[in-house]
Amino acid sequence: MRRAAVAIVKLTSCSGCINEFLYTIASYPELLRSVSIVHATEFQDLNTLEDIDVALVEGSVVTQHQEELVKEVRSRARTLIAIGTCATFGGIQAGRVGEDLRKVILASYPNPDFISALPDVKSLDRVVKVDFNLSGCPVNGDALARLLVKVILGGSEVPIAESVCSECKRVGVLCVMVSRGVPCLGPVTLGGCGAICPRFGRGCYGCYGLNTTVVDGERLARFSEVLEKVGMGRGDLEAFLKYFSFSALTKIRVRE
Amino acid sequence: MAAQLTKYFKGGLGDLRALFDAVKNYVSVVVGYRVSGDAVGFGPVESLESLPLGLEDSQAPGAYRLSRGSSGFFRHSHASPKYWLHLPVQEVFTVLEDYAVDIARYDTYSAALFGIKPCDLVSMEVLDRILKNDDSYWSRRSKIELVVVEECTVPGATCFCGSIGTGPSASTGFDIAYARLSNGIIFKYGSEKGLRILEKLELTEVSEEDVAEYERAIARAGELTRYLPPPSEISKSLERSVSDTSFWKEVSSRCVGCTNCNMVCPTCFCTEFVDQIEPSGRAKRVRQWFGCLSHTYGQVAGTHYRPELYMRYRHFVLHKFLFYPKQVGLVGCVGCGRCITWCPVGIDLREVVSKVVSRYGS
Repeated sequence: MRRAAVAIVKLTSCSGCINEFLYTIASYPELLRSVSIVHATEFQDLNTLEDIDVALVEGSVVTQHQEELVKEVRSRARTLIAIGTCATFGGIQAGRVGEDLRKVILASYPNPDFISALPDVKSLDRVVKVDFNLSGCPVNGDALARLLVKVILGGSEVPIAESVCSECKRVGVLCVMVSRGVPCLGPVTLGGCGAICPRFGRGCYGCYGLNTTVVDGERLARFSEVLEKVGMGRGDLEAFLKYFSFSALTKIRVRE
Repeated sequence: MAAQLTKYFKGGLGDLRALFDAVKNYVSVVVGYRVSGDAVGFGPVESLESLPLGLEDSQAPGAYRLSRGSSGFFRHSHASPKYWLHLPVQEVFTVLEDYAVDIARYDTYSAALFGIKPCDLVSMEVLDRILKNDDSYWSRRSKIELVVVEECTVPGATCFCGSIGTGPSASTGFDIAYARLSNGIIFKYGSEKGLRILEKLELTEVSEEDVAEYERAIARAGELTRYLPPPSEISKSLERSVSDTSFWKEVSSRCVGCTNCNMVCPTCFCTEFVDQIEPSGRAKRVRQWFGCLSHTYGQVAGTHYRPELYMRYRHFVLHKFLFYPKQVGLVGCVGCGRCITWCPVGIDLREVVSKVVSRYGS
């Protein structure tokens, strides 16, 4: 059987999701029987974007070059999967949107003239057609492997949009917010992580992104009042939402 | 088969321990509200020490606290018998590399439930009727050989079993029930099997005063949990409210569709099948709890049954009080109040139902 040509493309991101993919290959080496990695500049020297079955794209679009690159990848890939919260929502770098871009660049780089960033930070679906969005910071490697195998076999997947709470309750984790008053974004955040933070007694900070199938601006505003009561101020909430749900915020507005 | 509940016995904590040991000898595994760490779940209980007898819970809409104290009275946590009988995640089958199908096997050991509350007892009756053709459920349900109920003399602040008639005492479907009172524990039996076990313990006969005190305690708890009009009145009112979109939008305006109410409800039984294809070529079909408050629940090929959240919340309430009675002849709500306590935004089902009745009642 011909192995599926898989391209791994990195835009602005921390490579955490690509690492997660590498761990997944280490856990399931048999994946390489059905997958041939044709492009992965992070861990191989010979790379091509000629003919791609599945493109896994990490990161968000913050430069003109990246916008062109991802459009090119799209035109050559049968299936494009956005992996990680940067690709699906914008990611941490979206925190700079609205700030003075020149100041941000000066604060980060010794030679700012080499940097040509756009003022906006775009999730992939704002630039190209995305077949599957797999959010997470980082992405869940097992979920990625399963989706990849399914897609290679010609299958598809209906994404299940449910909250982190569903996962907490299925594994029997005591609700950190209701039982201990720990601020938790789980009720409004997409599940998929397996409720990692609440399992360790911490509140969810929303790294899989807002569950926009349910949460609109009004509901979010009311939920923010609940968070405020247990000690998460409006500023912290807005920061978390900007870092992990940026593209969703263009659709909904948090009440002033 | 409901037995005559005229015979009571009296004992103390030592007798409860003896009862636990007797029950433990009777079956392979005793299951109940299990203390693990700083939480209470539902699962196998090794000894009386694993039961939350020394814990006190305080409950309010959107708030739950556990504390320790010998005088405490534990009602329940998020975990109901559903966790044991209707598994949160259940492997259905595995398709092997050669496409042979390996059907999941179920447990075969006998079990007893110890210390479950009357509301949870009734929830099992509801699940029995709903899941009567479900092999996975019956694989465990049919092996429950003894049910010991702890009656509630000190109900919680979100409990409303008295309104539904599912508590605070147990009336049918159990073998033994006990109630902890200030001066001892009153035991009663609900089956011949239960009577035989109680007779082997060194319990004392109750005095008239003991029975009177027990009945007073139960009556008081019943009063404390009587918030709502009778379920038949609720059903009728709900039926008239269905088209009042703006009403349902208003009562669900704080809901974020997190499905906590579904998950903690002892009678919510819905599941979703997930096919997990492993890189090895094996594929697993897994069935897991799935809440009707989530968006994907009502999604089908080509359309969506309940695209807006108010429709899903309305469905949740209608199902409990209107559809279950039509489906299985029992009210789907057992008045445990878990959906109120564990709702992160504290939506109070009692308030919603009261509003429906005051607006649409006869």
